[in-house]
Amino acid sequence: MASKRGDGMTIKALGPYDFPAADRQENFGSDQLVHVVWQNNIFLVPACFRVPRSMTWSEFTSQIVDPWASVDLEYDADLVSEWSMDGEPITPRPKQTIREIGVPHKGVLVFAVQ
Amino acid sequence: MRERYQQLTRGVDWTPSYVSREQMYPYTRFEGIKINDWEAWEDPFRLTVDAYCKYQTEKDKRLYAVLDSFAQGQGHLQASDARYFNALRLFLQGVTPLEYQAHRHFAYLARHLDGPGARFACLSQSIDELRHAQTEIHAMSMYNKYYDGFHSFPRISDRLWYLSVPKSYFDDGLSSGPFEFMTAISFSFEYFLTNLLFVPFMSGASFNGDLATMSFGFSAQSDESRHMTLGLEVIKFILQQDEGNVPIMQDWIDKWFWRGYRLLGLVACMQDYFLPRKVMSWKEAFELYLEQQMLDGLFPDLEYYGIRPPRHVDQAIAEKEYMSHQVHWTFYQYSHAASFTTTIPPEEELDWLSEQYPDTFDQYYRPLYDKAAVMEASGSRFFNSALPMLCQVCQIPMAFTDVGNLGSFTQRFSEFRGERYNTCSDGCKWIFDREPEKYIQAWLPVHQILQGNCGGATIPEVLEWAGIQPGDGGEYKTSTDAENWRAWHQNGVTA
Repeated sequence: MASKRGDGMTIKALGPYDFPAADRQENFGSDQLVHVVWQNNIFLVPACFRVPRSMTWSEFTSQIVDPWASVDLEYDADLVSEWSMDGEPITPRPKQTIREIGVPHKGVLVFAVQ
Repeated sequence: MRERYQQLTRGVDWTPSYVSREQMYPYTRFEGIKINDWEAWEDPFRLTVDAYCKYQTEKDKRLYAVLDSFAQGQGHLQASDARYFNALRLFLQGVTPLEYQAHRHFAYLARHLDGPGARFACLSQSIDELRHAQTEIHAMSMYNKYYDGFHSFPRISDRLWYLSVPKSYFDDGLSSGPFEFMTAISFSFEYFLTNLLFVPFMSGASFNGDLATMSFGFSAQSDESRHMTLGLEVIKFILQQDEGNVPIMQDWIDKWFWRGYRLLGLVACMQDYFLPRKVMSWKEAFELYLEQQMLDGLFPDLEYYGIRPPRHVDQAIAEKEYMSHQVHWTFYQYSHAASFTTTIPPEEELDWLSEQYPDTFDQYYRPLYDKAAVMEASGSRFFNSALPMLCQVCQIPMAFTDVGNLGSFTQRFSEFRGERYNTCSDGCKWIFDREPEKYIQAWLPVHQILQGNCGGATIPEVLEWAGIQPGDGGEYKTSTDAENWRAWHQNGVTA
């Protein structure tokens, strides 16, 4: 699903065309953006959060994911059965940080509920 | 008239002697389009300045007479319901600023195209677009006296999150070269997709008792048919000029079909949900205007030039069964941060949606509103507290699904220079991958809010920065507009 591209110039322009990304990692200092998707659920549109890269997994789930997802009364934090990133299952330890887990800036974390 | 038109265009053109043609018209070569003979341009309409002014003056006179009498007679009370005005707010915030941008860019083309006939056509369209922006503002300004959400539309258009969808679409065209802009706006927007944009709004106005907007629509109609003619002439002219132009044009048609189609997601939502009296469903409009008129009518003609139907059109055809629902459900949960209100469709409208969309509505979307109704009854109307994930290209929240899997949101991404970019569909990903250098610059509202560039960290601060006032958004049933509407009608204000 992902594709990588080289650095070749593809834009047809009158002059040099080299501009930075508007939401690059460095603009967020020691934080980054993380997206969260509830798999097989279309009630909540996927969300975007700014979090410190030093935030631990347990802080992330309890402070970010739970409050957001629990607006849907069917959400139960205890029933979250599986997390994945770009189709690969992940099993972070509670003390692991977002950086240690390897979530990229603007990466997408997907969870499933039993 | 024909002779005077010749004098006006060819007659006043000249060959530069102090500078080269390339210096005089510096922007018409870098895109790779080759025009071998500008004289071959068939002028799609032959108007002179005095004739143009005479027609437009007549139309303005008629329009403003209607607007005056409508305003004096409190015509707004004849609308089907105050909820209808949400459709107009979306038009004023999302479409009117595009008319103004079109005015500016056609003025630029009126200077920079090499051929005098093409320059004059662009000049006329530039003046038309300015007139449209003005007459739309005048037609809708009367509603600003009585309803929320009509104030500050230029500021809101620049700053409010979902309005970055139309704004970035047009900015993409403005920042392209002149031939791509004409393919994007004259052909894709004004010809290929125009009926899907204007008919729902203007017929919606007519069905819902909005004489002011309907009159604007009539007044703009003859201009629009000129713009459509220009759109078709532009594409045929470029294709005929050089075989090398064909693959470039095909790429642009592919890109601007999908860009325009995604933008129409807002119209689809308006058409199926905002209009209390329905005109036709989005699906019916799509079948008539896109499948029958364009895919069956136009594209067989273009095949002669080597042009095939746009890439990703099959996905759009599949999506006619559900796109409006996906966009409206997104707006339903985010209307606390919008400049229009939303509500669960009344029972008879839910039934209409079930009838119109028998294969999808009851299975996927009606249950969402049932759930929202339970939440509302328990005192907590459903609003999403987090900011939505946005597509890097169309900038719409990532609420679309893959064909054949409506229960799960589509996720696509690309990597460029070590960073990741998320897109909502194969169409948007394809557009990103063609020109990543362009789309990495996208001013995605959610990312900008989270960078602290939009007035503050809380939703109220961001909304104030965007120009939103209390009452502009949220739930319709408890809005000031709904309350006023009930009071005006109960007290027998209507004749």
